[in-house]
Amino acid sequence: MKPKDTITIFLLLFVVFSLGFMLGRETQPRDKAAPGKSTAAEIKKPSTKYVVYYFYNGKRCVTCKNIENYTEQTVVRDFSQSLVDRRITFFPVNIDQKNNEHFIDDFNLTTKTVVLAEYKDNKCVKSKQLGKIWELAHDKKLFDAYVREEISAFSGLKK
Amino acid sequence: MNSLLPEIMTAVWLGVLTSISPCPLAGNIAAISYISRSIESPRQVLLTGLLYAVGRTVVYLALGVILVFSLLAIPDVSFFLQNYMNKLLGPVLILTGMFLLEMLTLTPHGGGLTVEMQKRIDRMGIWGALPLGAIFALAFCPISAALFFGSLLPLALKVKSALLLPGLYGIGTALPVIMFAFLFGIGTGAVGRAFNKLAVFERGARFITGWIFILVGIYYSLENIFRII
Repeated sequence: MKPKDTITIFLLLFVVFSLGFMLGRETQPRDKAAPGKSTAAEIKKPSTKYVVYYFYNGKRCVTCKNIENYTEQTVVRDFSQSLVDRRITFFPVNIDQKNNEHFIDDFNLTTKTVVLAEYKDNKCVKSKQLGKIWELAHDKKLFDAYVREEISAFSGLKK
Repeated sequence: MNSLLPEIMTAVWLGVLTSISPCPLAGNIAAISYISRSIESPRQVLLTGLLYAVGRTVVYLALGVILVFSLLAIPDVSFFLQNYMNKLLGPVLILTGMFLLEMLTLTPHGGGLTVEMQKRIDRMGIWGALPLGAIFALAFCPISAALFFGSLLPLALKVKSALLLPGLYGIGTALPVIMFAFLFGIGTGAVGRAFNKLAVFERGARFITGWIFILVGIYYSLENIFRII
């Protein structure tokens, strides 16, 4: 058999296997929330007034991980006292999990994003999607400043 | 028109930003190699690039019209395209690369390609850029989804521009690719002419393009289907 034929067969098998794997994965029931981990609903305690959500799904690209890390670092570094007082919480949420799907409609999500939400008596009374995070993700300083200012303006919490 | 100038510039810039961000990089490399492979004629490279831009623009226009007029929910469309198109892209690119390398041939009667059929496929070479642009436009990665669904569409809704802004966004996404493809194609052509070996360079360009498609296809499959990258 010629090397070209061998490569052709190998590539065709790879394509068939890829499509089969994709179909197999898509037809499996979706994951439920991992046991033992807190869910988004559980953190809506009366003491938690503001939640900084990072919503993600599917694969975790480098920029996506940066956005999550930068946002968490900003909350921990710049709102440490509010974090201790549980007035603010950072919460990454996997919207691929069945019980988190409602967030897509709740916050009109279109992709991985950061959303600020204000809860009163366990009810979300106000929310804001930070639309510029993807434009600023390449510059950590600008990103941090943007997230910090948005959280302050949204919640009134100070550094 | 003048009052829309900031929105127009924003739409083009968002498109360019999408194109130069890291996540569609592999697709852009494949597109550049496809567009620039017609090295014997700068006109042909430009025409292929324009068809690629048209393919992309038509997809964004269609999505803009459908979504601005609220026939479908933006989140549903966004997550559907992000979930499924990226997964299909890998196998599609591998098969396209195999056709370019003539590992697979269209054999209607089992007797190989006729001369006429081969000519037809060669003519399709330029027009192939049209569906290629459309497929790449549909394969939304996180950043293109964020910029199109999260930034461009809200802007289009605000100024009620279902056609102009999504169309300009589409042109913006194609601009860097066309520019690099044009420069690359002209450069390679000039070297080929200088050595009087244009035919050899053309065969090389076709070979490289085919393998780039296959390697990018394998990369996308490993990343989006098997999730091991």
